Amino acid sequence: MKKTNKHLLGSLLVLASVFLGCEENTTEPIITDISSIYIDTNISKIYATDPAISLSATVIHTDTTRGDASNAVTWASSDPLIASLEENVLTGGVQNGGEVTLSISYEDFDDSISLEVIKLVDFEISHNDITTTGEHILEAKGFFEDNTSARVIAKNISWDANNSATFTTTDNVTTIDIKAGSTLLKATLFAENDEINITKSVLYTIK
Amino acid sequence: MKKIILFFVLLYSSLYSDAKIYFGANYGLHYETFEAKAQKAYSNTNALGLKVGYGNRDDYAFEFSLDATKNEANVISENDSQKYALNIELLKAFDFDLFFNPFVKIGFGAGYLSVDRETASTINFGSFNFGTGIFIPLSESTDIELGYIYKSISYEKFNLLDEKAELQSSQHGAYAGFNFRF
Repeated sequence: MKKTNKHLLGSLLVLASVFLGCEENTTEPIITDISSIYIDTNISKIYATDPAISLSATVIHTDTTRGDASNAVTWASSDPLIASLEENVLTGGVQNGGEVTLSISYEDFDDSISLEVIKLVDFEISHNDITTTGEHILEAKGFFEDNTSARVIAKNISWDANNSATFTTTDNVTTIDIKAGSTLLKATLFAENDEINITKSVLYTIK
Repeated sequence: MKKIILFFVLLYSSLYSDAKIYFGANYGLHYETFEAKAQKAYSNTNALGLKVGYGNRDDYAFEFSLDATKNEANVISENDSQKYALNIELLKAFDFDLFFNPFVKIGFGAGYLSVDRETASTINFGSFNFGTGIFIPLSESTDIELGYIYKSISYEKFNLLDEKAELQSSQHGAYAGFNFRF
């Protein structure tokens, strides 16, 4: 009986010591919160046939710290036919040029920027000098509405040939494996859009 | 496997020998230490608990309890509010032929805390509970309960967009209550 009472008293003392060691109530939250988000890629225009570029978004927290929110926000384009967004990766759409609004959102937070997609007016196949069989890198250069010229076309272009020549495209670079004989090489821009597509061709004759 | 079955058979037979349904209410003071990254926060809390149990005052029992508290500190938002938790615990009491019956209990809990964050109005949490205390029988059907409860609490992660912040806490509580057994 006495031993048990001692145990009980000891337990109460331990319990009391836990509470006597208590700190004051904390006054400021220790988990910061979201204050705002914004698109922090400084971009106002792209060319309709530019390669894809990654945009980034930043979150500002209530404690003024900042962080990369590119993968956490929802990205959207007001007109994917002019410029499309696959998450934060931006490319020109299948329509040749125009203006769009790119936006990000998360819950009640959002931000947006205006983007001009500059229209391609003409283009040329750069390689007129293929004289041997084997692999050759293909390249086309565009001329744009803002008078920019000879800009390498990386997007919205498709290649074709009238014989057994084969094509390989890696990282926007297309290679042709050309055979002996005559090869009519065709490049078509905006092939998915019948109303605006442009086709150029070059004839190679290799013995 | 046989040991597990044997354990539950013994537990079942123990539970159903003179087992009773009982209801209880208690009031206590909780002290919670929060940890997030390298930061700590502290909150004292008054707690009100209601429970229903089934078992013996001097043997095994199961308890379902509902805790209602309000953090005095604002740890998660500028305006932390009510906190509710539902717990299930297995209790083992002992009869040493004294004026009280000591007990230990162990279990789990889950609940939510009302907060005022930009993207959330409630934060869910889960807890591991351990408690000890004594029943002081007043009559065949009533007793006073004095106890200590410890909870290891994990809160749901906070999406800060650039990271998912984690928050854990340790809660110590002392309480006094009254139980009525049918």
